[in-house]
Amino acid sequence: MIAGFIIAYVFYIAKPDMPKALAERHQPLYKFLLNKWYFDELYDFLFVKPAMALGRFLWKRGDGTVIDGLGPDGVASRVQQVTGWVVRLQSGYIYHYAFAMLIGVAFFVTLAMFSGGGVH
Amino acid sequence: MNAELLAIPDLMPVMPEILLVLGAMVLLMVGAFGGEKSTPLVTGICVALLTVAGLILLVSPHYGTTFNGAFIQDAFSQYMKVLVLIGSGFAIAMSVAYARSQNFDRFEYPILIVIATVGMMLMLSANDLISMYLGVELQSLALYVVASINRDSVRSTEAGLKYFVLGALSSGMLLYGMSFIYGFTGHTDFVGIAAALTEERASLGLVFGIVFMLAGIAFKISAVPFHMWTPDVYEGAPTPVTAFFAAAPKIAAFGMLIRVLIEALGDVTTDWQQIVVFIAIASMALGAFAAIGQKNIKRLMAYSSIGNMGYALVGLAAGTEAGVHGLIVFMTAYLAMTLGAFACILSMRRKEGMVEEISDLAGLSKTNLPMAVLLAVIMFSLTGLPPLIGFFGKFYVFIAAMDAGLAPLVVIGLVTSVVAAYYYLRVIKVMFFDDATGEFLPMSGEMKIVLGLSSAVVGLFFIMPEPIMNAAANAAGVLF
Repeated sequence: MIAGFIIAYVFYIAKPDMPKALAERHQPLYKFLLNKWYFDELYDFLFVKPAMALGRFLWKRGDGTVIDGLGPDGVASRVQQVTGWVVRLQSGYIYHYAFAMLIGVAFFVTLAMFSGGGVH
Repeated sequence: MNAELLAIPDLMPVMPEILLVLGAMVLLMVGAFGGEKSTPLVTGICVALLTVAGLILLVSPHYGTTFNGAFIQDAFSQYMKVLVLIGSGFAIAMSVAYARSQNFDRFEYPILIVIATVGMMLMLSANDLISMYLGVELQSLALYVVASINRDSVRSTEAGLKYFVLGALSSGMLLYGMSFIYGFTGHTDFVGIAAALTEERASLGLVFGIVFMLAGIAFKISAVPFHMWTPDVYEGAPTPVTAFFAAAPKIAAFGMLIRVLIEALGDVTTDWQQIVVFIAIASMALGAFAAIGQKNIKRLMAYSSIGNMGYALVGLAAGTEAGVHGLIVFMTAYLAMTLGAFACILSMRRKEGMVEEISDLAGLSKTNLPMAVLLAVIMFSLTGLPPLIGFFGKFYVFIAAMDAGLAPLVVIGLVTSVVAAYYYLRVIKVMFFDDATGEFLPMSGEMKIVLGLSSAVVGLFFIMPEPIMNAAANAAGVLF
C-alpha cells in the first residue's frame, strides 16, 4: 500500500511526465494493461461471437428454414397442398368414382396375391 | 320334399323384424289411401314401431339361430340392432321439423326408413352369405329411393342416381366375391365356411373372393377407395336423409363386416388383415386431409365419417376380441356424435331457409349459446379429447391394435387424428370467435331432445361407462 502511495505520488505529483515516458518506452505492456489484459476481446472472440453466430444460425436456418419450412408452417402448407389434390380427385363424375373402385379392387387383389395369401 | 323344409321355422328370434315389416306394409296402405295428410300419423307410428322393436330386443331377446342357420340372434346382433334402431328412430324424428318448413311432406319417407332398418337388422343377423346379401339389398334399395326422395331437386336426384349406379357396381362385386367363396369352400353358411377352412392359409381363389366381398362391404361403410359417392350424396340429399345415412347404415354394414370376417373367415385372419389395414390407413388419411378444404358442413361430415370408419377399421384389423370390443364402443360413440352433430346442422335454419356453410355458424356463441356449447362438446369429442366419449372409442381401438402388433397403424391413426383436429376445432373457432352474420330460427323441440340426449351420452359417458362397456364386452364375447 505504501509502495502504491509512493508510486502514485511520483507519477502524478512529483514527475507528471514520467508515466507518459514510461508508457512510450513499454508500448506493448502499456496497451496490454490499458485494455485490461484484452479480456473483453478474448471473451468476445471465445464466447460472444460464437453464441451470436449460433443464435443467428438457429434463427435463420433452424427456425426460418427448418421449423417454418418443414415444421409447423411447412406441415401446414403441405397439408393444404395435399388437401388440394384430394379435393380435386372428387370430380363429380360417376365413371371416375367407378374407376377408383376398380383400381382399388385390382390393387387389393394384387396385394393379397403377392404378399399375404394364396397357397396354390 | 324334405320334412324339415316344410316345418315352420322358429319365428321368435325374428319377432322385431316381423313386427317392422308388417307395420311398414300396413302403413304403406294407410299412406296410399290417406294421402299426404296422413304423413304425421305415419311418421309417429313409424317411430313407435322402431321403439317397440328396440324394446323387444332390450327386454326379451330370443337368442338362437333359425331358418336353417341363416339367421342368428345373439348378444352381438342385439347390441348393434339397438344402435341401428336408435339411429333410424332419431333420423325420422329429426325429419319432422324439416318436413314442416321445407315442404318435404312425404309419407313414404318414414316407411322407407323402416324398411331399410329391417334390411340392416337382417344384415346384422345374417349367418349365411345368401341372407347377408338379401339384407344388404333390402337396405340398399330403400336407401337409393330415400337419397333421391326430393324429386324436384336436381341435386337430390343426382345424389340418388350416383348412389344407385355405384351401389349396383358394389353389389356386383359383393356377389362376385361371395360366389368365389362358395366355389372354393362349398358352403354359404358362415359355420360351414369356417369349418371348411382347415388349412393355415386360404387358397388363391378364396383370397379373390375375400377381396371382392370386402370391396362390396367397404362401399357400404364408405371406406377409401370405395368412398367417392359419400361427399356427393351427403351434400345432395336432403339433410335429414344425410343424418340417417351417416348413422344407422354405417353401423349395420360394420356389424355385418365384423361377423363375416370373424365368424366365417376368422381362421384366415392373415389373408384379410393386410387389406383391412390398407383400407383403414387410406380412410383415415383421406378423411383427415380432404375435410380441411371443405366449406359445406354436410361435406365436412361426409369426410369426417370416412375418417371415423378408418379408425373403426383399425379395431377390426386387430382381429381380436379386444379389437371388436373397442370397435363396438367406437360405433356407439360415433352414433351419439353423429346424431348430435346433425341435430345442430338441421337447426341451421334462417328465415330465408336452410343454410349449410360452415361460415354460417359464425358467432353462434352470441346468438344461441347452448347450441354452440353442445356442438363444441361434440366437435371436441370427434377430435378425440378426453374425457369425452370420442376419446374412449379411439383409445380402446388403438390399444387393441397395439396389442395385436400393429404399432405403425396406430401411429398413422394418431397423426391423422391430429390433422383432423384442425377442421373440428375450426368449427368451434368459427362459432366462438367470428362475428355473427345472422341469427338462426329457434331450435325445434325434437332437435333439442336429440341434441340434449346425444351430448349427454358424449359428455357424461366417463362418469358411468359400465353399462355401455359391459354390453359391448358381452357383444364382442359371443363372436370369439
